[in-house]
Amino acid sequence: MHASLSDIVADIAANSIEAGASNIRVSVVDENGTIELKVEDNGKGMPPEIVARAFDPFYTEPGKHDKRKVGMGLPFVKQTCDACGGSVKLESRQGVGTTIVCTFQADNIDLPPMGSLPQAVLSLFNFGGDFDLVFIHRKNGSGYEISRLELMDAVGGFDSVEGLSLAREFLEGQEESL
Amino acid sequence: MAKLTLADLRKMREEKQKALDMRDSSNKDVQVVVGMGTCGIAAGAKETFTALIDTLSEKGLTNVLVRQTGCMGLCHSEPTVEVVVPGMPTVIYGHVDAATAKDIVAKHIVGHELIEGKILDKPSVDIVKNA
Repeated sequence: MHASLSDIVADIAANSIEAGASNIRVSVVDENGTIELKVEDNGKGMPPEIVARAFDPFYTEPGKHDKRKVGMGLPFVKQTCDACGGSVKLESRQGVGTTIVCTFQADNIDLPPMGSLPQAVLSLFNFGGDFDLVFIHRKNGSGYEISRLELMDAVGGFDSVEGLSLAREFLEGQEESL
Repeated sequence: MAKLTLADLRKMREEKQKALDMRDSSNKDVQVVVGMGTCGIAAGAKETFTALIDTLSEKGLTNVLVRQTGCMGLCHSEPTVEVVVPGMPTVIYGHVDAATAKDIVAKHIVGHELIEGKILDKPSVDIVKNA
C-alpha cells in the first residue's frame, strides 16, 4: 500500500489526467473524525465492465502497457480504506467522467500519515497539458482552494524551476495556515 | 512561512524574474522527467521531484524543464528519472532517491558526466518510443 494519504491523492488524480479530463476537482476534507478524499473528473470514463474490475489488482487498462498484467492504483486505495474503517465508491460513465470517493476514520490506528499534500498537488499540477485541476483542502472549519490554471498564471507556468519553487512555497504556506 | 496570496506570488515572480534577467540564461534545452505512476509514487518519486526542484533552484539553473510522466514500465527500479541533455545520451536513471537527484543535477546536468551504477538498461520499447 502507499505510505501516505497524499501518495493516494497523487496516484488517483493522475488517473484523471491520463483519462484526458479537462476539469478535475480533488478535495481532501478532514472533519468530524472522518477524512474524505474525492476526485471528480470529466475524462473519458469507463464502461461498467471495467468499473467492475477496477479494484482487481490483476487487471489493468488494455493497451496501457503491453505486457503488464497488474494495476495497483485503485487496489492500494481500497486496501487502505478497508484497513481504516472507511469505504471507497467509484462511479463512472463513459464519455461523461468518473468520480471516486474514499473515506478513512481519522483516528484509526492503521491510518497512514497525511504526508506532504503540497508535494502531491505540485506533482499533479506539473503534468503536461492544459487541463484545470482544482484542489481543495478543508480541515476542522478552515481550508483553501487553488486552481492549477490560476496558480500557473500567477507563477508564470510550471515549465521553469522558479515557477515550481514559487508554487510550492504558495502551497506550503496554505497548508501551514490550516 | 507566511500565507501567500496569488497577488503576492505575481509580485515575487516579477522580482525573481528581474534577478534572473541579470544572469545569462539560455533557452530551456535540458529536460528532466520524473516517473510518477503508482510504482513511482510508492517508491518515493514525490521526494525525488522535490529534491530536483530544490537543487536546480539552489544552483540557479534556468535552462531545465522538469516534467512528470506516468509509469515508464520500469516499476522494479522506481523512482525513475529520464534526463535529456544536448550532446549527451538520453538516460533513464533508476532508484533515484533525494541524494541521487542531487547528483543528477550536479554531475549529469552541470558536470556532463554520467552517474555510474544508476543507469538503467534500454527502457521498455513499448513505452519509451524515442529512447
